[in-house]
Amino acid sequence: MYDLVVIGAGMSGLMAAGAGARRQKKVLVVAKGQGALSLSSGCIDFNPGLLEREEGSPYFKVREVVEESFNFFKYLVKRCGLNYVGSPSEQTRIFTTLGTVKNSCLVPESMFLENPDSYERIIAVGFKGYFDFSPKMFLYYAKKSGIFPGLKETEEVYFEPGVRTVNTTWLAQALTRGELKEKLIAFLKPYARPKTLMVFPAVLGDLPEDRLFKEVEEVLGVKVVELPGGFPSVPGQRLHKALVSSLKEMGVNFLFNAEVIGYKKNLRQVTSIKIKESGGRVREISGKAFVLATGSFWGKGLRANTEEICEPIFQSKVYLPRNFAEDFNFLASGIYTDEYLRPIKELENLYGAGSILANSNYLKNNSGLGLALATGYKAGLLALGDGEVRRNA
Amino acid sequence: MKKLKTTVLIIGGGATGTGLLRDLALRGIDALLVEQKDIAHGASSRFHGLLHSGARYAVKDPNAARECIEENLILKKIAPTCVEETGGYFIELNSDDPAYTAKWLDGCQKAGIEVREVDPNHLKREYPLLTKEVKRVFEVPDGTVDGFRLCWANVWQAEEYGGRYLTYHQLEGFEKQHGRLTAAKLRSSLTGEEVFVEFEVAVNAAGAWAAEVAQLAGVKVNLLQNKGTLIAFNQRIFQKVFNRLRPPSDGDIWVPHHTITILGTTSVNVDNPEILRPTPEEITKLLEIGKELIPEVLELRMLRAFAGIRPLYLGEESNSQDSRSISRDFVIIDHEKNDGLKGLISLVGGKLTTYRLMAEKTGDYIGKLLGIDRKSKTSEIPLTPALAVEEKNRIARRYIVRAPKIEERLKGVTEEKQVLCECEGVTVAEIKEVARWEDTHNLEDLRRKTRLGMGTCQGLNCAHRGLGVAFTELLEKSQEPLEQLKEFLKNRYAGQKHLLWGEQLREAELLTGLYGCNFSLFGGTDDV
Ligand SMILES: Cc1cc2nc3c(=O)[nH]c(=O)nc-3n(C[C@H](O)[C@H](O)[C@H](O)COP(=O)(O)OP(=O)(O)OC[C@H]3O[C@@H](n4cnc5c(N)ncnc54)[C@H](O)[C@@H]3O)c2cc1C
Ligand SMILES: Cc1cc2nc3c(=O)[nH]c(=O)nc-3n(C[C@H](O)[C@H](O)[C@H](O)COP(=O)(O)OP(=O)(O)OC[C@H]3O[C@@H](n4cnc5c(N)ncnc54)[C@H](O)[C@@H]3O)c2cc1C
Repeated sequence: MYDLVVIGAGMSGLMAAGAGARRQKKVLVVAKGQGALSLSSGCIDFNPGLLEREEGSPYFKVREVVEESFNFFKYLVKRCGLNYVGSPSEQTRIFTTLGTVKNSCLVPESMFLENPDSYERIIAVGFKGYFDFSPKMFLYYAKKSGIFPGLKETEEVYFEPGVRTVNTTWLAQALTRGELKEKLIAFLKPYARPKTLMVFPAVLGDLPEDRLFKEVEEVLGVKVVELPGGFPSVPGQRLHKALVSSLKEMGVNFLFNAEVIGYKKNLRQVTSIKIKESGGRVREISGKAFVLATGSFWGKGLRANTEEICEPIFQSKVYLPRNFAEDFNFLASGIYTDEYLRPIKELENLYGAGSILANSNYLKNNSGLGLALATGYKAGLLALGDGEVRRNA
Repeated sequence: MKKLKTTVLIIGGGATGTGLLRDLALRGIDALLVEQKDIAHGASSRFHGLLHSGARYAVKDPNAARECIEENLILKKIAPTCVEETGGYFIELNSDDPAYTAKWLDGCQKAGIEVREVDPNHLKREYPLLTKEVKRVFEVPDGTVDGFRLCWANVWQAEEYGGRYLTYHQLEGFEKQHGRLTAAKLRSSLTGEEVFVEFEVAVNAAGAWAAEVAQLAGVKVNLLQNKGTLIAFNQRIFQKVFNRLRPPSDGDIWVPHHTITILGTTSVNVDNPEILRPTPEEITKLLEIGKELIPEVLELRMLRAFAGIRPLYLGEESNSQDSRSISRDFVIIDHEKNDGLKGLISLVGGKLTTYRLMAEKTGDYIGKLLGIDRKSKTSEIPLTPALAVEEKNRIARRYIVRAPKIEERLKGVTEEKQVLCECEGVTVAEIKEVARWEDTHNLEDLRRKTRLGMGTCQGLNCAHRGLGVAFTELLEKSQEPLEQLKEFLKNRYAGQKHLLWGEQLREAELLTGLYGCNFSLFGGTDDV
């Protein structure tokens, strides 16, 4: 019997599990896939100013745990050697591979660019035969952005990895293993000068603990920045790996490739969930409390047909935004919850978290992962009956 | 202001206008075509893509049926890279009226359309998705046609024979002298630059906009603007065109195109050629009717819904409103005869299948007006070079006369061979080369010429890659590269937003997440 069963292994589910693990509870995470987390840029967007403007936002139910949950998140990923920079009260500006500027909140150390005005030279490093990053385009827009007032020169350089077709996954692995790393560093040496910023697509190692960006910085004496881009997203994958392995170390149990297809209840309590494993085997798992963190449409927490939108496991009531198709409003769809994040009155030990919640349009509030982080953490606390949190809420 | 001179000015770069440009160029008559957006901006790409065998019109409009089958055979001969000889089936269901089938068979025979009855069990085996209600099946020589490619093929061949064209130039007005139009005022929709063109004859080939163009000249063309909505599915559900065997009505044709299938169409009168928005009612109706052939239609993955406007000619002062009973046949209106205005001809109505015939007839008429007696060569001179015919020769099929430039690149630099758009198999070489062309003005133009982003992923992976790969080239255009990308994404979403359920909705979220969050290209990034 688990103290807490979490459905979903995206940001919100993992943070709910973390809240439980932190209190030495017996926690299980059941998940079918990886959700939006591993496809994301790896940057934790969070913008309280925009959230406050969103009527009915789940933000209003979790405000008091934001600081604590963000700190706990940083702690979790740091355990795996993945450092995040920033705080929930500040916006952090980063660049993407397209040269666009992204406002986020917590960002991986490898993307963090402090004092951009101190650089006189930007070297944009591309890879021959790799088309997910155009150094030319990046430099064009970086110069236009006005963020580098001290800039004197820029240069695009192309490293030849020595294979014909180069893709993101291969690059991220190959650059930290074997001789390619030495070759890359040797190739970059002639460009190493003071006040130089070197930018790379985010492929400098596939593992959370890879610190190739630091190594390049130290060996060459330049500043290195990684840029998030398209799919697959290495920083999103690193983040997912880091959270899962930290939680595992803290004793959280995981059941992957398992789909929750139903539940059982007794009076006003969910007693167990029914899961279908990858081989097709169906079984039940019992728990004292449950967190529903199955994401939005992409994650499969919400399902839409031509007539309606439903939440397929518990049939919680779903909010359908007006003008659904206009302006990406569909992203605000989600389940209604009470002040304790409970979707269904009759089920007292079920809590919802993450992008499955109503009125959280991550495009508008620019707070996708950040809100998933905070709501997940709080749902975990509430599910464990943390009295203090409940009183504060 | 730029000044140009031409003998014939053609307004409109759809099949009709580009067909006429080719016809005149092959006759050696000097002509300039102007198009307000990209080539095939109107109905010539927002259509069903059926190369009619004529069978659809066999009962109601024998004349149209005969024209269709004749033109069908000519296009298969001269433009094998723009049309696909899929063949088509007409399917009678248990609920359909067998008496209609008899009339239809008779009509096909009279029009000279070859019909062969097929064993329905054979069909049911080949297509398990198909309803069990199939009663009789007939095969006809229907085909499919790629509107973009056909129009560009016309333009590029015309260019080789001296024809000229200006895209992204809108006609804004005419100059009149002594009851004759003498010049046109155009404006570039990209730079705002004005262009002044003197001509001897202007041809209004503006499709659904023909009434507006006529109005600029102070005359009237009586058009019914009739919207048709279509739904594209992400796979080739059928290998042939599937038609219902019943009096032509909504939603009864499925047309396979490249890697996708298009179901259509509806028929709704509108009062403006820019009303291109499919309505929820139209989508529901199409899918309801689609269900009759494929009961599980809602489970299939759809890519986008879109609509086009048919310009149906009402004749003089007709007020008929039942659009399907109006003949789709075309008319050549000489405004000198109708309105006493010299120098303007309007060419309206018709079908894409008969575009070549329309051009030939118009070419004859203009020849007579100008006193130039030369025969049309459009049915003899191949539109696409012979080497392009072979199925395996993808580049030649896609880029026709311009293919050698791309083949050259593919022979050279190795990384240009890499495929960038996996759904449609588009290589880096194609993207870089097409981006360079003067008639490519932005990423959307590039998409239409290469099919980049037209497949299942709708540009998810290839749009940003394409922009990066062709950045140097696209930076030369009048629109900022990132603005080009935004427009590309806006147009992709414009097609997706009518079908936001099931897998389409998941894909739409993915596209939004990638471009909105990871790339921060749109959405709530403004600080408070
Ligand atoms: C492409 C993309 C990029 C994004 N980029 C960013 C970004 O850079 N920064 C940012 O802050 N936000 C970003 N967002 C938004 C952000 O990712 C989401 O708001 C956030 O990840 C939601 O987290 P979640 O845990 O609620 O859901 P998800 O991460 O979607 O997780 C849902 C989980 O539930 C599982 N699940 C669903 N149904 C079942 C079931 N029946 N049984 C078992 N398991 C199930 C899924 O498999 C998955 O593990 C992005 C979103 C997308 C789509
Ligand atoms: C939904 C639908 C399905 C169809 N299905 C089929 C089919 O399966 N088979 C078939 O054979 N036919 C089909 N048709 C008919 C066929 O698409 C049309 O007959 C044909 O495309 C008309 O071509 P066009 O060149 O006359 O018009 P268009 O292609 O609309 O071209 C007119 C052009 O004029 C331009 N223009 C307008 N105003 C100006 C201006 N002021 N200055 C400059 N340029 C201007 C427009 O931008 C446009 O590109 C279908 C039509 C519709 C709407």
